[in-house]
Amino acid sequence: MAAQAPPAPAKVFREPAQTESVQCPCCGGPITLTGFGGIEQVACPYCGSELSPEDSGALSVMKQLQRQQRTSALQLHTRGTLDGIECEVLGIVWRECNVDGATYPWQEFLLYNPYRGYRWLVYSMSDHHWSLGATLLGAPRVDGGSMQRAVEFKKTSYRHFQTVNAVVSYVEGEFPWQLHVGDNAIAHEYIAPPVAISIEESHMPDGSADVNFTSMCHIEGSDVWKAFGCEGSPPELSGVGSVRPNPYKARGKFVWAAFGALMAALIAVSVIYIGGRTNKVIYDKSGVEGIGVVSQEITIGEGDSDTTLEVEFSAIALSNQWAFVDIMLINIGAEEAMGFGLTAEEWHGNTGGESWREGKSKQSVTLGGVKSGKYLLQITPSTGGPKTPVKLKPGQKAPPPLKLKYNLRIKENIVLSRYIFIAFFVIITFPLINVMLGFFFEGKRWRNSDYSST
Amino acid sequence: MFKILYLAFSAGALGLVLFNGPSGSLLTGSPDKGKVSLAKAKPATPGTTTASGMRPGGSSLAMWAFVAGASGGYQGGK
Amino acid sequence: MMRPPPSRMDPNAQTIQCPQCGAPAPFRGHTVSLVCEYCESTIVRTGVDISLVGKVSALVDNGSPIILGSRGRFHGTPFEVVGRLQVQYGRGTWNEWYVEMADNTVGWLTDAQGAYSIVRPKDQSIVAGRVPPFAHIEINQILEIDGVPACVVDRRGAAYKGAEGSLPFAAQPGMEFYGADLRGFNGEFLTLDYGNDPNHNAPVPYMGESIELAEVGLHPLRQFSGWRFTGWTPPETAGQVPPQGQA
Repeated sequence: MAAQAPPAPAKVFREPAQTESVQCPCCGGPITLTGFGGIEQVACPYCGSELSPEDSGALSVMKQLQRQQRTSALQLHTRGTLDGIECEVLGIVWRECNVDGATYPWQEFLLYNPYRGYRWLVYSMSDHHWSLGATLLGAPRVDGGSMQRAVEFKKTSYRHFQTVNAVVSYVEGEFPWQLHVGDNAIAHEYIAPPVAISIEESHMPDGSADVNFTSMCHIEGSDVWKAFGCEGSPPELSGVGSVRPNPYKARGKFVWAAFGALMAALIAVSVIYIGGRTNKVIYDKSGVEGIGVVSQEITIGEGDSDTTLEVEFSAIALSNQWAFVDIMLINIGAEEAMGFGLTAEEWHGNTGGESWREGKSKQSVTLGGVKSGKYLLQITPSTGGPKTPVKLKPGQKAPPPLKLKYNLRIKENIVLSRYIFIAFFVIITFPLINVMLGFFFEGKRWRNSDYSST
Repeated sequence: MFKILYLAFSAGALGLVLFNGPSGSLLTGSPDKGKVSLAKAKPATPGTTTASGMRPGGSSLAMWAFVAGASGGYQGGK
Repeated sequence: MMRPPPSRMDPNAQTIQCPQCGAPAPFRGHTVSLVCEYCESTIVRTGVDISLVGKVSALVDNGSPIILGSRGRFHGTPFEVVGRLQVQYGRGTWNEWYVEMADNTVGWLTDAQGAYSIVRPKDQSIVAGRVPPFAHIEINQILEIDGVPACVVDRRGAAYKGAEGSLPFAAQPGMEFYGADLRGFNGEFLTLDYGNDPNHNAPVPYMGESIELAEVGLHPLRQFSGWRFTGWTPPETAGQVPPQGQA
């Protein structure tokens, strides 16, 4: 057993981790590694070279590059609080993919918190949509039945949206893994708005490979701007982002629930309305012969309220003949009259070997807002034959004058189904409009996918 | 906004059924109306029907002057 | 002045002294190798014999917030971080923290680029013959390990770099081994350790689940200049005052 006192103990990692400043081996510029010991790669902010921190603390050169002046939606080393977690933009990757000859660039911002690890903010430079990604804690299962067009994770199904070859075009800042300009990866995006799963497969030159499952979720540019204290407003969006939640679907829950309640209300109201209609027959004469004027006093309605009337006129055994009644309803008390007519007709013949028949033998008229009270009903019927009378052959007797035999019935306080239909139309139209808007929204979303026809 | 409009219009339509349905005043067309002066006032007693067939001569009919200007009458449908 | 026993969970820890510097070397029941906290020499215990291996490669600070002595709760069972193995691979380093559970079982808390998991070693017999040799493992393959279907997400060759604290085996720095990580469909995390032979098909399986440090409430944690720890529990100022030397 040693008798001497042990040296002052050097317990590693008890002192707070410090950010180190090192010199760039290419240009000599001072670089501060704000990502602490976990950094495997840093791009020199002055000369753009890709450097790798050694155990000794010095930087070794992986690739000498030229620094480009690139615009970035967020600046390196900005700190902000997203989702309640403070984080710093540690590194920025510019990536792009080529679809149908057009290049679509985007930026990925590596967000770092020493206790919470790494997350990614993805910003599409073509349409300005944002999403926030973190490592998926698990693996999604390919949905066998969907021809690889969907994956499933934790009981949610994600539909395949697009597969692209993502190529790194520029890198700034620090990364906990190596990331080179020119690296490419096959990235599959499966969506279930407002979330998505991104599956990325990369193969390294040293033979190792990995697949990364990232869980993405929609985030508004304004939330990013607020989190990082950026000035002004975020760039305006174009089109619908792949993970933007469908506001019409969200609204749909309320709308269809309201529809159910309103339909129930409509049924109740209809029952009350129909139940309150007496459909009372206040005048009913059948088989009336001749064209004599009929005049009769009738009582319409009850009390002070207005009511509805249905007047039905039908002529019996018409043959190539028209029948018309001119009806007057004269409100004796108010000294007001209303006049209207109804027609019945029947025409038939044989033209070019084909026999035809047309004309309706009855007609109804509906009146509303009819004041209650005593009325004088005046019916003036008339009848006639074809406009051009058939020419008489010599010796032929003139046909006898046309006879008229008709029925007239008047009902009051009738059911006007138009009220119920209008209410039903209003109640169903709004949900249907919402469904249509939802479809159009999804159409815009899927226009950017691998499945659009354009 | 959409939800508010939906509920408002639906409530309105339902209200229309309940409160305007009985009189039917808003959703029906109106026939030609006009003021009448009842000349030779001898209103027919309720229940009597003046002759069917022939124009009665001499018996009183309410004569009327149509102020509103006649036209072919109301050819409305249900 | 004697330091108090390092873990209230193991009252029977042997009080062995470091052969190099004489500092107390608190071997736990299952600990095979221990890195002296004072002189960083590795001490290996075989049976009742203690032997000094010497100073191994130093650990590097790879930015982990976890430190020896961090404690947490995994599915209700308290655990303590008692050792660390640092592993180097083509793209960087990661840590495997050796963890002692309150129910006297052990596990590993893997710590790689901000992604964590807790896994338990299982017997080789549950996968022997039922998984491909390392040379035939491909990413995105679905393998079934002890009834759990999982997707291969990573395959690599790696080498031990350094160690601290108590470990269940004597890790030789520079010792290479091949391994593959898998993720299950319900959040499971599995590792197959093929040792230094990529051609056999009886790896040692480690099975567990991916976790977030917040879930297990890990504390105390490393401090980082310029960052304040908020959220789960505030960090205690762990071991900042070096203890007095012993007589």
